Amino acid sequence: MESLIEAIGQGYMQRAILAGLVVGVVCPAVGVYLVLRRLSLVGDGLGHASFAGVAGAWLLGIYPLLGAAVFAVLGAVGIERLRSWRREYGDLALAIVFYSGIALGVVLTSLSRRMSANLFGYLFGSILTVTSLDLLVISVTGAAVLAVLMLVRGELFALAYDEDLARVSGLPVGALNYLVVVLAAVTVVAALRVVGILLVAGMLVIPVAASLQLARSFRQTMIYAVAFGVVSVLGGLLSSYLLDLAPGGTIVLAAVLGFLAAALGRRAGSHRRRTEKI
Amino acid sequence: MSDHLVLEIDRVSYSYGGEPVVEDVSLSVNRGEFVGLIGPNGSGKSTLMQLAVGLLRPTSGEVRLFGMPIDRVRDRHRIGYVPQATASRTGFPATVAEVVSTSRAGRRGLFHRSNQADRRAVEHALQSVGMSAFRHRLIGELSGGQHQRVMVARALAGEPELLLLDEPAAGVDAVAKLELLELLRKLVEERGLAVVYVSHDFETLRRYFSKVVLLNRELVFFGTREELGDQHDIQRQLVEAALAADHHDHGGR
Repeated sequence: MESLIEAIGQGYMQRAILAGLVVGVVCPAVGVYLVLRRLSLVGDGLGHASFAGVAGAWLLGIYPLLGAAVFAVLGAVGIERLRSWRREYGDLALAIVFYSGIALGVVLTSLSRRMSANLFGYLFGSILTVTSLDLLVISVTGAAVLAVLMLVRGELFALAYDEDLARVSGLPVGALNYLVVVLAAVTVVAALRVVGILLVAGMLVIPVAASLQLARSFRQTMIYAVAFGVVSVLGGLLSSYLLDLAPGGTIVLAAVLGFLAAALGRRAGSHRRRTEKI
Repeated sequence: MSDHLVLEIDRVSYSYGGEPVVEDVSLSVNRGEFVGLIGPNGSGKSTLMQLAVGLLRPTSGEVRLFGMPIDRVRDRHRIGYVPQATASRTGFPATVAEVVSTSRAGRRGLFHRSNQADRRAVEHALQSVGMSAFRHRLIGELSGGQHQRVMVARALAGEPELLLLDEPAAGVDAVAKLELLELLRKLVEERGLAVVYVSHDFETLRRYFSKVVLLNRELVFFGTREELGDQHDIQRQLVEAALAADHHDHGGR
C-alpha cells in the first residue's frame, strides 16, 4: 500500500491517472450513441484503421497519434460512406475498413523493419508511459469531444431513437451520422495510449453495456455509462499496479467485471420484484 | 386560398424495383381539414405517406408542402409524422417523456439546448393523449396501444401544422381509437391543424373525416365525404379496389 501511495506521488502515475480519467469519461459518452445505433463494432474498425496510421507515422518519424488521427478519421468517413451507400451491409463496411487498416498497418510495420516495444505499446496500450505531450493531446481532444456531445445532445438522441423520424423532423441526419463516427474516431485516438488499439473499442461499449442493465432513462444511461467507465479505469489501473498486470487489459477486464456485476444486479432486482408481486 | 394549402401531391408516381407502387396520384390538403386516406392492404398508402414527408422521393411528379417543393422546405418541424406501428425498440433506454421530446430537436435548431417551452410542449402533448402518468416509464415497457399514443404525443409535441398518421389505430382497442379520433377532431377544429389519417377501416370515416382519399395504387376517389355518397357505395368501391389490388398486386408496399 505504501508503495502505491509513493507511486501516486510520481509524475508517470499522475499522468496515467489523468489520462485514464479522460478516457473513462469520454469513451462511454461517445459509445452510448454507437451502442444504441447498433454500431458497437465501429470502435474496433476505427482502432484498426488507426493502427495503419500509427505504423505510417512511425515509418515517417512523426508523432504516432497524429498518424492515428488521420487514419481513424479517414476510416470513419469510409465506414459512414459505405454504410449510407448500402445500408443493409453496414457490418460489411466495418469489415472492409477493419481489414484494410490492419493489413496496411502490418505492411507499414514490416517496411520500418524495427518492430519495437514502443509500437507494441500502441497495440496493447501503455498508460504508464504516457508523456506530457500525450496527456495534453488526450485532454484537449477529450474536452473537445465532450463539448460537441453536449452541444448536440438532443439531436444525437433523436437520431439514435429513430433515424427516419429525425429526418422528418428536419434534422440533418447525414451530417449527424458523420459527426458520430468522426467523434468516435477522435475518441479512439485519444484512448489509444491508454488501452491500446486492440482494446480501445472495449472502453467504448462495455461500460455502456453495463449501464444498460440498470438505467431507467437515457439520462441515466449516459450517467451510469460514464460512472462505469471511470470506475473501470481507476480500478483497473490500481489492480494492475498492485498485481503487476498489463494495465490496458486489466482496465478492460475491470469494465467486463462491472458489466457482469450490473447484469447480476439486474437479475436479482427483477427476481425480487417478481417475488414481491407474489 | 393558397396560404391555406398545406400539402399538395401533384401527379406523383413511385416505383420500387420496377414495380409501380403509387401511380399518378394528385391531391391537396388545406388547413383545418381532416383527411382519411383509405385503401386495401398493399394499395400504396404507407408509400404515399412516406413520399409526403420526404422519406421517399417520387419517381415522377412533385410533392409541395406549404406551397414549396419539399426539398426546399427548411422548417420541417411544421410536419408531424406517426409511422405505422413497427415492433417498438423494446430495449431502448429512454423514458416516455424523453421519446416525446425528440420531436422538439428539429424545431429548436442545431446547438440550442431544450428550454421551458420544450418541456411544456412535451407535458401538454402527453396530457392530450392521456399518457402523463407514464412519463417516467421506459418506452419498451408500454403496451402496443400505449406506445402508439406516445408516438402521437411525440408528433404533437413538435406543434405541427400538418399531421400525418399511418394506421395509428392498428393494435389499439376501440375506445382508445375513438379517443384518438376525438382528440384529432378537436385539434383540427380548434387549432386548424391539417390531418391525414391512414386506415383500411372505413367504418369511422363518415363521422370524422371532412375529405376522403380512396387509394388503390392509383387514386380511386378524392373529395368530400358528401361527394363520396352513402356507405354502401364506399364499401362497393373499396371491395372493387381490393379485388383489383389482388389482381394487380404482387405483394407491393
